[in-house]
Amino acid sequence: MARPGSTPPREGGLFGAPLDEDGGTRQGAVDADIVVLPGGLVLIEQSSPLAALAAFGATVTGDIHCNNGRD
Amino acid sequence: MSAYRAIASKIKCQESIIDALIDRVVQLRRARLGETRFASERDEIIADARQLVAKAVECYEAPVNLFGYQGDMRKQTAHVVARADFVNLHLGGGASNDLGFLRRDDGTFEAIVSDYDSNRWWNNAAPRFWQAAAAHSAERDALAEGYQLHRSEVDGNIRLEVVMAGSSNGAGW
Repeated sequence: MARPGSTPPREGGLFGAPLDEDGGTRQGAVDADIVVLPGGLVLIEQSSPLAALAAFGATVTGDIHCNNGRD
Repeated sequence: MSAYRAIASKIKCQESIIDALIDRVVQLRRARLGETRFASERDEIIADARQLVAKAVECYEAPVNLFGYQGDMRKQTAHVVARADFVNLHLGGGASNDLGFLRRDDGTFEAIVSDYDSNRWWNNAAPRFWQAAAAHSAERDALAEGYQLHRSEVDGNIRLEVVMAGSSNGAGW
């Protein structure tokens, strides 16, 4: 059950379909994809509010559009 | 086409600093031991690292002075301190000084590292350290909010897939 007020979970992941621990492709609906880069920059794509995560850091850029992370 | 926000992580959680220190110990131990064959071995390495860090790393309400490799007291202070011996043995230092983390006025932590250690090991370790701290901080936030997590590492990036607990996400985790 999604959190009240949240938008429907979307399919897939930020940089394409998520990979499981064995490197296989796994399709699933997630409320947020978080990618933490070396150095600590955090990329968040979220389809529900995740209030606590919103307070986690200051936004340093606006929305970024990517084509499955390959551009 | 995906849209996402980029945020600069601000580590305000002392536990996330501790977690990142554990991560560093685990990382070096794995590098030394090579590929572990069993999940139980990996779990054991992590459990050992947790114990080591819990025993050795000091946490203070008020900052304390750091010491140099010869036992000389330095003017720099920190709230979380890994003493030089621990840095040398478990964090990849060598003839190191104390490593500290000072809580700034805004609640975020900064590393207090000597010039020697910066050049010797910290500059190489720092990107992974802050990445680990940010990931742990996000994990803690998400879990506290009642979300479930799936963590994976791809191409040096840590990915956290977050799903509201109890939702049917079809991901099998």
